[in-house]
Amino acid sequence: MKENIRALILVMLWDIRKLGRYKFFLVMRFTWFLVQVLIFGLLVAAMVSIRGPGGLLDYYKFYVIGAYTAVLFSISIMKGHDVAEELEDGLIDYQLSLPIERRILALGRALGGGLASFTYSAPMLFVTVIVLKVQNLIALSALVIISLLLAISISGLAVSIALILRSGDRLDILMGVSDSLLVRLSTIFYPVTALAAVAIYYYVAKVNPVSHAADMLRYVAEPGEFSGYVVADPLIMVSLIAGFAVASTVAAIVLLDRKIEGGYGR
Amino acid sequence: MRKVAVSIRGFVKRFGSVVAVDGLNLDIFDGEIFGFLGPNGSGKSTTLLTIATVYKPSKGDVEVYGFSVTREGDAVRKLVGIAFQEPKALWVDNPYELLVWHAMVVGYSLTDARKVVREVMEELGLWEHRNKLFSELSGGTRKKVEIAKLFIQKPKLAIFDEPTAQLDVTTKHFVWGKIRDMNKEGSTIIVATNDMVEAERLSDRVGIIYRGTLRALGSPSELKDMIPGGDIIEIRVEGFINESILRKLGDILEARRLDLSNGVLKVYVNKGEERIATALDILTRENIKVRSVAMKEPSLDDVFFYFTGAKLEEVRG
Ligand SMILES: Nc1ncnc2c1ncn2[C@@H]1O[C@H](COP(=O)(O)OP(=O)(O)OP(=O)(O)O)[C@@H](O)[C@H]1O
Ligand SMILES: [Mg+2]
Repeated sequence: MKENIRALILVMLWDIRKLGRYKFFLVMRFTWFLVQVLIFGLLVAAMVSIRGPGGLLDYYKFYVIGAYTAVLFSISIMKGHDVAEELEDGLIDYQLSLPIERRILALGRALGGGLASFTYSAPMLFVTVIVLKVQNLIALSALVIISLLLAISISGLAVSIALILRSGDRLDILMGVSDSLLVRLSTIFYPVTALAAVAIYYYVAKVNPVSHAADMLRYVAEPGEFSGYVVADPLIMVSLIAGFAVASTVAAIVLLDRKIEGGYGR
Repeated sequence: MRKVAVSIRGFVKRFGSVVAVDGLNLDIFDGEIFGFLGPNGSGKSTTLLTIATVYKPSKGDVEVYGFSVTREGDAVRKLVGIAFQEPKALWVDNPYELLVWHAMVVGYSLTDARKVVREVMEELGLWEHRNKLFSELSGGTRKKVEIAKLFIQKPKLAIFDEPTAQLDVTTKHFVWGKIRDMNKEGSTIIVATNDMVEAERLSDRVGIIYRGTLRALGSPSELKDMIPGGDIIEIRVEGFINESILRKLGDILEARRLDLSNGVLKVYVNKGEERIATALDILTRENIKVRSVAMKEPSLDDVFFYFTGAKLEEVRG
């Protein structure tokens, strides 16, 4: 047990070790996020007025959390790309040969990927917290936990898909599609009450885990403002997010443990 | 009975329609250095990666110290370490961090990991490169980082896939020495190679694989003796040797072939060392003056050619 925890931490370090190496990527993301928050967000909020059960919605705050969720989502999806690249470079072969239990290896990669993605998006979370003036410690920790769960879910999912597709190119296409679908067909930028007008859109958004993550973040940050605009009851949202995280991690574990062997890069 | 470290039974590995290994049976013994020879694409790496649990057999099984690679992979991985043919590292890694990570994964504490990594890196002349990015290293330097992993790990079964392929001569000799040291300290070693000198210097036994099946197995000198007519007795004579003498020589020496040109008689035989005296005896009785005698053993190159299809004569010209 102790040995496994040690191995788990070492595997997680594999992804975390890489953090400092992509500073440029981080700076670009952060700049783009600031542009969204300081320019687009304000512009859009000035044009949009949404009235819901709780009166007039503060769309600016709604938008900022949406933008943060979208960034977290796409950074986490990059993990799939990382793993596809590692498959092609034979690094997964290397890891498969190490004296680590396969289940621990997979769990470590999923958790490490999630943690690394979350760390990358932490500066964006910081900006979000400032813009929304979140001061409550419980709310802050809840924001961190939900962000982490989302990051783990998405990177676990991306890693699983990478392991199935075995190719960086095919993965990029699929991820591009799922990025736009999962983000567009969610409540990231449109409140669920507004989506109700378009049936398909509405139902997809309602089951889309990304909607639940975005709305849960909003609910935690400002329950008073956003409780009328969430896809589901907070308890349901939390269960769905946690369930998604567990499911995608288990998928990655099963794939690495049972199905996967090396040599994809050849 | 020697203790078996690796037992390969009916091992088949297919990649799509390519049959990389086609029914391999092989035992590798505990404590030996086993040389794995074969031309490009013959299935060496595929076999080694299966022993290291990276690939799964399509058919048959491989056991490492009694543990099956398919059913008891976790147990196998505790005993095996592999230095890959292509060095494995993130391009953005630096060798020092990578090796410390590796050392910790194979069980060292952080303090010990730093110590052993530094020792091994210094020995291999890697220390000055410790903070470079992997992408900035030369091919040979990358290869050194790859083998450093096993010198650090010292696994019970150490697999080197063409360890010195890109190394300079000095480093090559140093690495061979290190591999022998590891072996003396208790590691069983498998070395895949295309380098006959390497195979001969290192191996207790050699296995030759060709198109996915084992063609020959034995110590280097046993393998040389397996080549029919592998030894050549070269006798420089004065004067003329007629056909009947030649035939007589051929019969008595059981020669596979006899050549006479420019006063040099070449007799292709097995176990030449036991036949030189007889040859001289016959010639003296026929009053033929012998000026010099030499015997050439086949090299491991010849063994390789012989078992992988190319004809000895063709190659010798
Ligand atoms: N992952 C893979 N996917 C598809 N084919 C493969 C894969 N690995 C090996 N092969 C094929 O299997 C055969 C054996 O390859 P292998 O790498 O085992 O040869 P090798 O003896 O190590 O050769 P070399 O001396 O060139 O390293 C080759 O035909 C190769 O193309
Ligand atoms: Mg090879």
